[in-house]
Amino acid sequence: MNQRLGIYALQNRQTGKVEDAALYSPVDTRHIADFDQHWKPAIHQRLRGLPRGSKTAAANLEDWHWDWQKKADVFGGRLDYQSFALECAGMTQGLMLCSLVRMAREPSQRNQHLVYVEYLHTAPWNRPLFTNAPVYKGVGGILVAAAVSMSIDQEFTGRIGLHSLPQSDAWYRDFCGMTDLGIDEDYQRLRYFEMTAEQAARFLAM
Amino acid sequence: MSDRKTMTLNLSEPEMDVLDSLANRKGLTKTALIRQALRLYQSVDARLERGEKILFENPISKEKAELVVL
Repeated sequence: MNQRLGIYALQNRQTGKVEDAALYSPVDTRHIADFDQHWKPAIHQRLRGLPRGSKTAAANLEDWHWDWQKKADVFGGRLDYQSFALECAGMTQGLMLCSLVRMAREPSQRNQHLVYVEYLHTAPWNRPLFTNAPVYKGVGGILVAAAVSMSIDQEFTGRIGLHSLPQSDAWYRDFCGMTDLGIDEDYQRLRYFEMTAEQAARFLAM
Repeated sequence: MSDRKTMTLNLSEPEMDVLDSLANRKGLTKTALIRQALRLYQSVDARLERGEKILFENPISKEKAELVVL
């Protein structure tokens, strides 16, 4: 059953005010409906407006093809996946899917369990480059903190790992403080990042 | 995260030794290790049900071995 895990502060960049955002797990049908009815049309409209030959990174949309209905069909009822949704102002602002059966690669924690972030998705209107006036700041940070908290709850001491789309490499490295383990030739040539227990403690203390 | 229920688990001495050893190596309590084993079992079973194979690859020789689940 879908549960509210907590209330977090999101900064509205347009008003300058802080608003309450609620974190839920697992992702529910209403979150998928928001994705289908609000996120997808905005994403496809922006893609149509890109100059011919432009890369999707120019609009912060390298993840444009992710489809949450298809993902929900796979992870529903599975113990090895946990999904999260962040709601604010009556709308889904972020979605995340995590796997709990992956092992760490970073030498100091190799073969220890971690939470692997399969997908972390922020609503398009919150993204710089997608729009000149992004709305909420902090969605990604709250979701990464949720992954770290789940890792601690599962006795994985805060360890998390993920493959990053190029548009997000610097954010995971510089803002989240994760270790960059380089390009993974076996995973679409995406960069693989891990957070150690020490890095997780620093991240949560920010 | 959700309501938890308690059960008693009867294990043989060798089984308990393996549980102790794995929990120690992975830095988990025995309860967390059993929970993790259940997740892994369900994950493997779901893939096998879809007709997929579970393969292990030697990182040097690249030789692949199929895990046969009975």
